[in-house]
Amino acid sequence: MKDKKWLLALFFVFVILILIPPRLRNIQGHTHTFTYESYIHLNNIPSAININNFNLFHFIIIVLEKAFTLNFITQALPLLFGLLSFVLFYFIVLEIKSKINPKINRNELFLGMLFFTVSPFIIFISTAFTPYSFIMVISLSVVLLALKNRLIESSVLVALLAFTEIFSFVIMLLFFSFYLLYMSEYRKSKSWLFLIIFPFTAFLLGLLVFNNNILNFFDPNIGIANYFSEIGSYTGFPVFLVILFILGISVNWKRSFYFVLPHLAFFALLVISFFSPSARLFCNLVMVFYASSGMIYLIERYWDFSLLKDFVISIIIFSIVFSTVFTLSSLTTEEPSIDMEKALLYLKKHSDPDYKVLSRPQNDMFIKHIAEREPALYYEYKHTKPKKYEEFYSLFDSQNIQTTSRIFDENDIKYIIIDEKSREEIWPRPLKGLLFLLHYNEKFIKIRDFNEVELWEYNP
Amino acid sequence: MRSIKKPWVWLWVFFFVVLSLRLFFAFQTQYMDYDAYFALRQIEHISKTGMPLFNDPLSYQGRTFLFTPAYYYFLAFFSLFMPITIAVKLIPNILASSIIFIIYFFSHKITKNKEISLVTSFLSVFIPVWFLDINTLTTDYFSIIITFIILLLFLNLENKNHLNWSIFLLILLVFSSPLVFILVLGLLIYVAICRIEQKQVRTGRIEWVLFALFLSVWANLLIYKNALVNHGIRVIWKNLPQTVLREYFINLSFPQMFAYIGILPLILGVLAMYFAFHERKNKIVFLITAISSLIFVLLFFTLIELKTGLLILSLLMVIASSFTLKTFYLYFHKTKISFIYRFLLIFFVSIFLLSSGFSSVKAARDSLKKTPTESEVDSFIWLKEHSNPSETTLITADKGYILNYYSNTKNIADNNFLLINDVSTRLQDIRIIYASRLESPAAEKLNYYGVDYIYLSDSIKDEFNIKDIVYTKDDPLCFDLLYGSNIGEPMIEIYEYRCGK
Repeated sequence: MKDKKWLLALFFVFVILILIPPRLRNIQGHTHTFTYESYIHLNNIPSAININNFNLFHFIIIVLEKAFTLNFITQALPLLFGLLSFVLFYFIVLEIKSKINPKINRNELFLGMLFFTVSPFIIFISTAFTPYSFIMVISLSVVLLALKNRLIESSVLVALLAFTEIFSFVIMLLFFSFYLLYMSEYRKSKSWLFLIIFPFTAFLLGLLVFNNNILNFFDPNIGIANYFSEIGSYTGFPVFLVILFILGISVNWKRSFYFVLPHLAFFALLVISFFSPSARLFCNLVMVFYASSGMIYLIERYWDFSLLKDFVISIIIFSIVFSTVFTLSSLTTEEPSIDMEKALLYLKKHSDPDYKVLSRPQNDMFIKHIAEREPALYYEYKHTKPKKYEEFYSLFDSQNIQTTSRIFDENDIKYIIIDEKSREEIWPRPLKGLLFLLHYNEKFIKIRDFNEVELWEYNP
Repeated sequence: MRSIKKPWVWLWVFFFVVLSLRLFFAFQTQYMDYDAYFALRQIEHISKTGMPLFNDPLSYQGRTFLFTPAYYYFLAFFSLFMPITIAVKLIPNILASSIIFIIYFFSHKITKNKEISLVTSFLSVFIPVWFLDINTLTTDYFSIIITFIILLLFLNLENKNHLNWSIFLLILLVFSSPLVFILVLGLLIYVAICRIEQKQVRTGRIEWVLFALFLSVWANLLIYKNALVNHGIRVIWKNLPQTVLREYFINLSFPQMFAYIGILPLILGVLAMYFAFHERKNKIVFLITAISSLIFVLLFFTLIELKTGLLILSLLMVIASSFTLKTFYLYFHKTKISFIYRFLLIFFVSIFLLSSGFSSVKAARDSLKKTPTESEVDSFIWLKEHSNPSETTLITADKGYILNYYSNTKNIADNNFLLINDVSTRLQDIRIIYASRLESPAAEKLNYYGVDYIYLSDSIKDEFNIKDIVYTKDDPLCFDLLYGSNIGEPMIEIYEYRCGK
């Protein structure tokens, strides 16, 4: 009974945490979802109907759009998936405790759930519109069904991941194969081969027939900055979770030596996680277990100096609170800003759809989705078309009206959006480059001013 | 061996010898080195307002500083009893000289022998790298001293007072310098070495290391969060641009190490590590080995400033030397030629004096070259009288702090690069303005930064390999020579840039 109360309290905390960013944004007047990544997927949804760009997550959104508005879906779906993940994760922990490792005690279980609840990655995917929430629900279902020996259903779900994202599919297929061969009863029968071949065939089908952008999930910005949530990564790990995880691993090393292969597989996953956010998601789920174990070790072990124990536990609690609050506040102030939303909605109503909009490259997806206009400069050009990116970016520095006019005319650019971030990043000094032309050349007219965002029009 | 009855007397003698030498060189000039003026502004601001200057309107024409202020508070405290100009010369040099006591305590802990401990502390009298910065206000001396005191306390944590003091000093260190990570990582390696060597580490010590790890990670995350978000992993290199990075984090060669640390401590230190692992296992030498190997790795991968790394390494090597001396002592006393040991000590001391003594004095003399000349300071003071704080003066990044301190005008760049996103561009622009032969590219940059004054001195000319700023002579209407001093002193010119207004 007491356990249920604690679990309900945790669930309640989780609901509040994942409601904070969208609710606060709604109160501020936002009408659209947030984070750049959400808009990448929103812009990819229409193309999911095309067989060459098929993606299961996007296809589900198209189906749901028949019953609900897209705005509602982008807000409700992550929440729903987040809550489902919480429940699934709890049942997985219970299954692991009853079938694999009965030594997991009640405190470890609840601390694991607590770490899951406050994990920045989980909060991120439960609030922003990304396929990771969908991937997480499917993956957790795969694990739970496998643990419950419902392997056919589990195999079907692994196959579904093949149409969503490559890394999660590969990871889950490996997990599934490993579970079949290493632990389940099925390894004695011959049907295990079919269970592995089925999702693998689905993957080949996805790769050959649908070509479903599965490799788009590869993260081109490899670096330590993606690894830690305190450095600003939503898909990273809190530093203290990592420290507790290391502690947990070292404490459990002997106890779990029987599971040496899963451990090695996990370290391989850690390496993959440098390149893939979904791999980091799976790492997060595993780390939560070990971190709880590390924390329990710190609390329950005998301390020579109780003063140090109090200090250490307090620091860990503060740091976890800090990392959660940091994530919540970052998500709440994510782009697009309220002024940008207003400017883009204005542009949608009052601009000519045949012309392009020039702005900071990181605004491309917002322009495309909210204003429904074509951005002149896509951020992805930085990697895919670096020459074009350089040419367009040079527009920001140019004070030569002939060059600027030529590029504007050749590329049908008519509208310019100047926001606070572009002033900080592109023009730290006032009235330089394109800003100078906007203010001192009669070809440019300011259409509207939305506090931090200005809309300009180019008239050749 | 005959026991020395009053080692304290000798220690104080050593201390005063080093201190006198350091102060002799320090007071050869009334100024500090160029980088010290950042600290001076902080100390003065703390003395006046009680708070450090985090939002500076002058540096980079207005920016936010990220730093840990404990050391500046420490110096500001002394400025309550004496003039700041005296305090900033006296206190850092007292701190640097006090390493003698720390070395003695450590050596005594290792050897339990007063004579060897005294000889070892004498070896720390002339460590050349400790004489490289006589007129500096770097946090290094302060944080290194605290680190070593913490290590001493760490070796005797069973005493409750030691535990309390170690916690207090750790908190002080966390708020003084990121060097706390060297302490924490070093202790973690120490625990690992002890485990490998099957030596028991008391639970209390592991608890202390855990506490230090959690505290330092958490505090630094809080303090440097914005820098981490802004620069990512480059925070380790303080967001230094590539050109400056090479000067700060140089790959180290062995001859350089011999020169900076001294041949004798280095050889004896390395021998100590050998003895400790192969002949007489000693946990304190394991601790020294752990931190030394960490410093080596950090220096090799240019993750720590060369000077800071050498300051720590030199102390570790000197401390480890005592173990070698003790090993020799034990060895000779098993033989019939034990009297040779005393000659050996005299021989070591002589070699040490010959090799490190002269190097240290030379290093101290060279350090004076890093301070500004009187004519430079005069020109800065003149500029203060003829300008206002909202105006910007063009000067190289090295002299940015001193310009802010004496002239109270804005600079375009200085040596604190954290949270500055366009550092390389700014340094490149400064180079263009000074070295350009044509006026138009320079004027574009001058207008861009809104420069009001251009400061030109011989050292700046040397830095950019120019004889003059050529275009200033061609356009006297735009570039008005306001200040020119060349009477028996290095040439200094200050131009007013009028066309940007």
